[in-house]
Amino acid sequence: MTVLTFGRIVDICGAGVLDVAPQPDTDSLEAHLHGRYPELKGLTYVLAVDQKTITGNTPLHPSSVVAVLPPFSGG
Amino acid sequence: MNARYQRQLLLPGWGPDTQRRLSQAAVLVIGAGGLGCPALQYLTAAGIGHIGLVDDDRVSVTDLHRQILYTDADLGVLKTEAAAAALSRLNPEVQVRTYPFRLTKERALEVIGGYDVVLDASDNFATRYLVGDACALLQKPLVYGSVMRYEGQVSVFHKKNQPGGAHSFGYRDLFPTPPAPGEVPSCDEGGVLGVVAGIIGNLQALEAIKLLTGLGEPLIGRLLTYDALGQRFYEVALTPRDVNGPRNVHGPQTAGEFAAWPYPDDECRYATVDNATFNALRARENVLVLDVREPGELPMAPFPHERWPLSRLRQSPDVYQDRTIVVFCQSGIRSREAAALLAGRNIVFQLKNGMAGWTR
Repeated sequence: MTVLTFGRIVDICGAGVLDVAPQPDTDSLEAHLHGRYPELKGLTYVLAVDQKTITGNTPLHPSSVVAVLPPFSGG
Repeated sequence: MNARYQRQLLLPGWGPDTQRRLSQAAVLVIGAGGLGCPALQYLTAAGIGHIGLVDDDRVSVTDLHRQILYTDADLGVLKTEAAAAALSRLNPEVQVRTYPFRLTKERALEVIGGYDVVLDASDNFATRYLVGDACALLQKPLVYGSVMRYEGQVSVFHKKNQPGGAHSFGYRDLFPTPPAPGEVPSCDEGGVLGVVAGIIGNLQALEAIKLLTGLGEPLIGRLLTYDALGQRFYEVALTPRDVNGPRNVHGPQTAGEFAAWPYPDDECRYATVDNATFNALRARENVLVLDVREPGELPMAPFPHERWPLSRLRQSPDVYQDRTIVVFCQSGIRSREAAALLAGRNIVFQLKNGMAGWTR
């Protein structure tokens, strides 16, 4: 499955597009990403699954695209 | 109808009534920086009747690459003042009202209450959450924009008490709680490309015009992200958060809760300036140049100044009031403490690296 990163999260993960082993849901995906990129732990971001933000654990499919979106403050 | 707007009056869906709606509209722009400058330019040129402008900052040389309303001649001048002058040159028909202070919860509801649409063009999370919550309480449409480095975000929030349970979205539906202080780099720390701020500021102006004219589909319930290096937009639909969720996720629900809400005041109340801005400030009338080093410290500053050592300032921090003060010391460390002491009662700047780093 595909993970898209934005802002500082691109630096932490080393790329804007990540290829990740399929995960059953977003909680497992976050645990997987935190294991791979420990700096992500404690960071503020929202997840969007297939271009829709989520507010809780959400099932994933092998073809899901998950975006990791941090807030920006700059103006 | 005014020839000034002839080309937009030719647009399909845009008639004299559309233009009249704009001329009767009031838009508040919070922040006259990298996002605010381009947004203000286009809103003013398009003929928005009343524009309000909130900013407590002064023009610094490091602003000029992206804050395109300002020129070298504006260094050290209040941004509200310089922007209002530039905008009235651009379109004298537009009335510009300036609020040369930092928006706080004491004034936010009163200021925002007088406008039809609000643009959040601020540069810090404290202001963004304050503005998001104030707009949600007042049910005002809020055009959100933010940038970092080569990326940007735009959305339109409009909290409404709607019959039939239809969803409405606020800033907290996207980002429920502020990140920890220092977690997300500001433009000061992370850098920003001027044209990226220009693109996002222009998208904000466009969304404001769409909201006011009823044209097209505003970005309500959608977040549009922009990646300048990949030259890509990516859009996500927002999911509303549970209204019965945790209180801190939902934000203040009444004016009373808003007044008591603990917004972080994590920003300095004084500005740190470089040599060029320091020298520009020194050249201005009615600016007090203040050396806070102890008596006898060398080299003496080779320009007119007053001396009030930090040790004495600590005893009597209210010695100066209602002044514009630019503070310096030897290396820029003591002047920070002095600036913080003076900031409550004065408009204060401090020289970044002190006399050690000063050049003419």
